[in-house]
Amino acid sequence: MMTPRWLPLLLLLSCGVSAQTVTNQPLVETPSLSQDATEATAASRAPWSASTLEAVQHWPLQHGGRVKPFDTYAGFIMLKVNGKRSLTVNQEKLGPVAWALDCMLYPEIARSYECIRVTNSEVLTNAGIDVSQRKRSARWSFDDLLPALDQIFETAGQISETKEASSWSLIERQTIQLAQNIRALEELFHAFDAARWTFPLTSVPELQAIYGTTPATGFWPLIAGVTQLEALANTDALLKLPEDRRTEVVNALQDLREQLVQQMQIARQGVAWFAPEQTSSQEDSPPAVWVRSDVILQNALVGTPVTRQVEALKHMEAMVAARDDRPLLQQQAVLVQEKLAELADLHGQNGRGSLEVFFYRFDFFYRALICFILAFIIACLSWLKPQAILPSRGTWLMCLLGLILITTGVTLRCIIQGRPPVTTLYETILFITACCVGTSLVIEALDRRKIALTMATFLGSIGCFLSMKYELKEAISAGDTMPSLVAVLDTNFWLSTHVTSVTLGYSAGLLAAAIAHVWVIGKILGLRKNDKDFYKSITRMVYGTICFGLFFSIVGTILGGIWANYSWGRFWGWDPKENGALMICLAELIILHARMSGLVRERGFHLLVLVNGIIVAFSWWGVNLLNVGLHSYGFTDGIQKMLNWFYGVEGALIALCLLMGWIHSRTVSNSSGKTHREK
Amino acid sequence: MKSSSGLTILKKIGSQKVATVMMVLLLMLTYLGTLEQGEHGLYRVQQKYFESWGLIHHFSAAWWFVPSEAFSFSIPLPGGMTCMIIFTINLLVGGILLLKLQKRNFGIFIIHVGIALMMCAGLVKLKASDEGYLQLWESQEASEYISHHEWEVAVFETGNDSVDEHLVLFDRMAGKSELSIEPTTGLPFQLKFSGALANCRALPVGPNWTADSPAIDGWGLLEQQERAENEQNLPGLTIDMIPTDLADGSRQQALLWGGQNYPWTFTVADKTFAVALRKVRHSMPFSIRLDNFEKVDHPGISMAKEYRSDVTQRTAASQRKVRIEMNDPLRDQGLILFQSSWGPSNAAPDAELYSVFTVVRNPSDQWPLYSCIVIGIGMAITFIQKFLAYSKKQAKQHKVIS
Repeated sequence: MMTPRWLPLLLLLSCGVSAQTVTNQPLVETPSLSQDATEATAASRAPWSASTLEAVQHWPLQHGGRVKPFDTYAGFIMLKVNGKRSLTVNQEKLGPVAWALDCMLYPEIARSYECIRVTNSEVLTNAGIDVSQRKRSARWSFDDLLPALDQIFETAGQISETKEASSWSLIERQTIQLAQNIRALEELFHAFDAARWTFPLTSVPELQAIYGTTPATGFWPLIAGVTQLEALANTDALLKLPEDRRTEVVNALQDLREQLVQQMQIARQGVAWFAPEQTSSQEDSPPAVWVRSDVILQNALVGTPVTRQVEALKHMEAMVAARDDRPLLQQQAVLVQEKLAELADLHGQNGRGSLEVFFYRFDFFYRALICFILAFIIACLSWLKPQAILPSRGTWLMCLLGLILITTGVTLRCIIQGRPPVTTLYETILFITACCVGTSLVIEALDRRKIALTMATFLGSIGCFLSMKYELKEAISAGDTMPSLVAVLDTNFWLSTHVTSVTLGYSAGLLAAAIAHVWVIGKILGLRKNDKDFYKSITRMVYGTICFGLFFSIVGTILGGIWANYSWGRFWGWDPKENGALMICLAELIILHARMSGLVRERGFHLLVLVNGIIVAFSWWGVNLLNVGLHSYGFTDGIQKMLNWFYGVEGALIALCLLMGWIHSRTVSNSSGKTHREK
Repeated sequence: MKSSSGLTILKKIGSQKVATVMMVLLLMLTYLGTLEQGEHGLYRVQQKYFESWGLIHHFSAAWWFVPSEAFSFSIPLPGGMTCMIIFTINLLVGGILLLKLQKRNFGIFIIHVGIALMMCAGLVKLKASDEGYLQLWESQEASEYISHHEWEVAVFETGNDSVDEHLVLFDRMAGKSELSIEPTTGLPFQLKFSGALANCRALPVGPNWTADSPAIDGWGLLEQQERAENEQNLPGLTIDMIPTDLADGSRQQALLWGGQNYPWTFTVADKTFAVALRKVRHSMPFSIRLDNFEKVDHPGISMAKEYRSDVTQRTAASQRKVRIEMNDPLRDQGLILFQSSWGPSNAAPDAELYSVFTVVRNPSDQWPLYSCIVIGIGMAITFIQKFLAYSKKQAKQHKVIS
């Protein structure tokens, strides 16, 4: 319960904080960073110890609607700003946690890191920066961009206010992304501003009596002396002071208030480190909202119990104060980890943090990519000497290893999120890759011609590579590859049945098209002309895969309709994503019926399978580019060009194969006519 | 001989070639309809491509080396309705009626039965269902829901609840310059509708524009381009009221517009009547009272994690408390109420919100579920059979090689 005596100061604080709004203005002019910049004397800092990084990476925090470890948070900010999860500065390779710690604890040094990736220098030219000495796509430091920050933020603000996102040009989109990246970086720079800030606690003897002559920096000393401060700011107490003292004390309190408001505004834009101390036992209670240091201060002022939060804040601020004393800093970092974890444990929200750190540290999909590339190289070599057993076994081994890695990675993601494997477009890439590789290996086990095995290595490599590329896109758009889901998707039953089935259908369609390429390219190049069995074997594989795909596509599509009937009240709404799924079902049914009815033979069958591959690509990615419908939750900006290339190449391949078929049939009919005439 | 030719015709109708052609056409329509949604919106595309008997599709492609004018042409296509009916007949004849039941095609037979059931579900939904929404604030109660797309002209006597409303669907006016409604029981006048516009704005007639519709009291209807989102279109029309007995009152004319808040009123035979152009209303056999609406956001961000409504369902004889939430609708007496959204979208964090339900009356509601089960069983049988045969063949082949 708030005491009325403290009301004037608290009201002033609250007004100041609530008046704060999110703007497109850079944060750079805030005094705290300027203070650091002017006071900065060190051009370098001692390297981070492994144990410090180990402690900090486990710090839990709430961001994007979920609790995650600091390692994940820093990793995605680094990926978003820098384009990759590492940066080399003065021959020191910085990972996400080290980089983020530099930004938070040594902003005056981190400002000069060339970590802001600008893919199109035109964006900077428009903002008045000389780019003649750099490449078109280059990394810039915060200091490099400082003169143009106002211009960049103003332009970005104008674009977002005057235009719909769908009508932004490429350069406008890149300008907005640059502004967002700078803002993300600024948030790191200012994350510990309040902790660094020396509040005016010694300006009058009355304050000195409470805080001593050398109070520590940050909010914690204020909170520690809040009762005495309350007594000093009490109206009756102030009135009891001699008039000259009263004016001086009121002025000192006002000065303190202004600086508090300013620092609370900055803290409010930072990271939500602190889980609330109050827990709810009600089943329907909303999820706990974590808070920042400004809320702890506010709660302390109104007398809400925040003992544990204050304890965590104390160690965090002590860590900032001890930034150049590595042993002490490490000790404080460990204590912060413990205190934050204790708070998170109150809500049962700290259990999967270590697993998530392990997941990102191990980098399953990158390792899987290496396995698949190695497997692909061995497979290519094994084609030179088909009878050799060793290369074949090597390919199998690497392929299985890659599959285990990717499956483990997907499984860990499921455990971390408490969700089935596919909830976002990024996860569809991983799942489809795993399914394609797994199915190929099953086919290879049955067929043993190394065709499916080679295909597994190729698809595995492509899939892992695409997933890494798309992870960058998700970092830019969502800041995480495990984002919070919209209400309609908040159902594990339908996610695990409909989405998984449809995605399996995509996998089979793509795998069938990939294997059909072997047939088509083989025919175009005239490979193994006399080996009819080879081509028949491919046809059997493709047919089986199409049947497998049709089963999951049809069941998955109907399950989707049933889900829509439960959620939106209609089985079928002709939504683009639904239509895409229907098109796959229809295309695969056409393939089977056309083959059975004799409308197409082997060549036509394989060409139709290629068309089906195009349809799968359209359904998977293409419909998201239309920007309409209920399923538009995938960020696919920049995919169009790649997709057009895919359509073009596949179309050309189909046309070429048709032409070759026509030439072949003409030659056959001519030669048979000639033989007939000779007879 | 006759039966043999009949069988031949049946075989042709039920052939796999017809099935293939129909599926190719359906694939094309689905693709074209999907692409066109970005420009024309779902509602119009659905009507043009998927619920029509035939259509003219205009191809226009702008490639980087060919201007769009150089590559544009129109082709007639059968509509989705035509294709689906032919496809269903083909399926019934070829896939069920003429299919010789054997062990190897038993699965295929089951699949065809499942698909036929699903097509029937679609047809029943199209012809016998209606859909709308119900928007309630807390403590508010309603026993009728409002159509998303359909408009009607409602005529009723004011201040007399016992008088039935006389309704004319706006669709009846489409494509007609004038529509006359003769006096019906209880109405001492005739109504004439003219100048129906699918989307318009009511504006004061000024020096800058003159309305095509008659200007009444200085107001006219300005026609607007139809919006892709059909819900945003506001229709309008001109109405003439002619008393049956001119001694009861004089002939009057007015503009009706979908965006107006109050109906047009007039007096005939000492009775006051009101005419309103409004979304079609469907009554429910029970009423719904919203007791509590709750929206829970993901922590720290403004994205809804879940939202739910606690309602009281009342009939004349009973009442019960029900919770309606995402993926968990209320089903009763042929109606289904789904939690679809909330509003106002720009409400402050702690402001009161209203709840929006989608209400559907669909006799074939659960049929797709049954068809999914049937198709799944059929496909599982078929593909397991094929897979076993393939594995057997491969094993045999490997044995021969070894």
